[in-house]
Amino acid sequence: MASTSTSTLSRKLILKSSDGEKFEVDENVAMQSQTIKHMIEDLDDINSPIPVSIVTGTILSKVIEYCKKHATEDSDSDEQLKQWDKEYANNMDLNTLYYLLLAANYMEIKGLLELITQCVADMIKGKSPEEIRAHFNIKNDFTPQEEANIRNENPWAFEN
Amino acid sequence: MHILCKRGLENDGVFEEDEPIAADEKGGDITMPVEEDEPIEADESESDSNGVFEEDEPIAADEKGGDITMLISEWKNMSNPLTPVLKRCDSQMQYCSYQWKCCKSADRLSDLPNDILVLIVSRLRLKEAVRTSLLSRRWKNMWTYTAGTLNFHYSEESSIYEDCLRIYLQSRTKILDDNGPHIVKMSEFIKLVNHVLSLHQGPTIEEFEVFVKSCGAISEKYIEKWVEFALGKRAKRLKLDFSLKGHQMHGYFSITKPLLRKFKSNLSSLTVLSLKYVEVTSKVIYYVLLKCSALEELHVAHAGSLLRLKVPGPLPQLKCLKIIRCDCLNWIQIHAINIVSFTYHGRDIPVTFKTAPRLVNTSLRGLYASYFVQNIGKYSSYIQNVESLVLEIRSSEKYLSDEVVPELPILENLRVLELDLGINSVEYICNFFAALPRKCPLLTRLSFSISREYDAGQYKGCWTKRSSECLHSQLKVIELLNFCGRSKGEAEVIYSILSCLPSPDQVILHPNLLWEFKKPNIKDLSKKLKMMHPKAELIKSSCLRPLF
Repeated sequence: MASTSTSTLSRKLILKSSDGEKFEVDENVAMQSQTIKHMIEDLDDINSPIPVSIVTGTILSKVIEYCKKHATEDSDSDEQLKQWDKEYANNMDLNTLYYLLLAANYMEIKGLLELITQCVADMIKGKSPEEIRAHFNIKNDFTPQEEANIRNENPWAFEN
Repeated sequence: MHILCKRGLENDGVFEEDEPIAADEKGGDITMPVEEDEPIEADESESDSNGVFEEDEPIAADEKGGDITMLISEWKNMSNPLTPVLKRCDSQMQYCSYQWKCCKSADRLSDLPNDILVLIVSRLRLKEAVRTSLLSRRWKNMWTYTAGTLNFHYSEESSIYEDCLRIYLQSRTKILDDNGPHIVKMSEFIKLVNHVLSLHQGPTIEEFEVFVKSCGAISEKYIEKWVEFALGKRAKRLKLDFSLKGHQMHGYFSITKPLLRKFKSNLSSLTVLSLKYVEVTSKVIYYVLLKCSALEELHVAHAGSLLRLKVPGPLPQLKCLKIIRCDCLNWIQIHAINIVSFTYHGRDIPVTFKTAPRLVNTSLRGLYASYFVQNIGKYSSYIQNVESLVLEIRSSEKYLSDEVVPELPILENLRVLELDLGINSVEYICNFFAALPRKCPLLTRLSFSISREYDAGQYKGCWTKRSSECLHSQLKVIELLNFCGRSKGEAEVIYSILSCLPSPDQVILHPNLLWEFKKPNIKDLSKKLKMMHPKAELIKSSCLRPLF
């Protein structure tokens, strides 16, 4: 058992971003992505680069940073890991968060997807609809009448 | 007043039901966005045709597509086992191209695919989620797909502040009661819940919670519908609380076996079941424990029809069991090999564990707690691993009435101890506290509240010498819970206790609501504290705790 796990650990994979950047990562780091896990289960030759089609190099490097941290979780306590996650998410600008969401969704990295969706949800919490629109640049495409209808339909939700 | 909303979107067709791509595992019912009424500016990328938005043949329609598309087509020809993955790639590809095309549009959030937006909405509580419907058309019905929490809260309780005033004034309960408008409000609340449930379209939810504190009962037929909704949506956490104002012992709504049986196959989704003022019989609870194979937490409070509680082992997933004020219980037998947390508040009935090697949190209140303390020697094997212990210690006719109160056994792992003190003999209390550092070598946080009136002037002679162990004490924080500075007697008892404890770093006052009315002067306390424990810092917590 021990020998298989060491050999798994030592295997390297090459991930290739949409813009052609290549990243060499440990297999256990890459395997946190269910999508990649499925891909390599079906591939005979793992030495050729695995294309991560929709993710750019900049974003992929951030994804890998997350996966690396979470692949070696035994070194940190849960608390420390949470703290790290928090800082990781807080350091991203909105644009990066959107691309990370797409990447995490595509690569099926559950923890990362949870982390970033929570981070965006936290930005929505406690804000008025106007404030949320301003924060995310959402264009209000309702007519005043439609807006009033929505408010009337669930008035309790818009009370403070 | 509630206009029933038509299902789906009239204009942008975001949620069309039967698209081929939607069959992938993650998507559930939710299909991909097809923004028909907002064509993407074609000027941004010259190589891609508009074909990416035709969901039927995403790849075949786009022969000039970039090398990613080529690559996927190549793969498709290469190996069949990858088909599911590729299928996902195809659908993702569309977003991808969509994304790149929209690079200059400012609202990237709304550009994200539906399943991601639903994930975001699912992390909001219901009210916040519904508020997103006002953002834009794209968001209008997004919340109805939430897989998160549907929580409904209704209380006819005047604010806790007013309640407190009432208790303070001790009687005149009529002053704040006026049932008239409540009946209207309650029927609005029922409509609201029914309305939201009728709109919800997601296949599952994480949590369903209804909290009601009312003067009159809500009709059973509604509550039953709500419970059926929650179980039908495979809720992971189901929390119900239907209390009536005033003194109420039991619930008016019952969860029955036939109701649960209807959703037999869904019961395995439940991880948390919390029933307060909801009637359940012994058989129903037994059925729940047998059928809810993922159940981690079970809370039952104020259920008068619960006569016996048998937790049939080994139930390795059950971590937390809370039984509060089920006053007709005759006995509790627990066989749950991994139980971590146990709370019992009630009469002095037999409570037995088959084994509880992982029990680290225990909270006992009511007459049982007094019985337990009186017989604590018998239970030392159960509590030897306990790290956090809450005990109500109260003298009554039956227990702890004489001066000689049994000693605590050595609790090697205890770190957090909370005591609700109602012992007659202050001398005993002081001896007890003085012995704590020796009995609980790892104790770091000690909280206590005084729930009994003590006469002033009677206990001045009780100051006990601190034991020598104090020097090595781990004790960092002492908390005075429920503090309102109500009497001189209370203050004296607190000084006596503080004087016999080792020096902490902090003494934290948690005032209760009466504080606001009493506005006690804590200068005395702070002065005395400085004398007893020069290095300890006195902190007043800013949040007011409820009275009980």
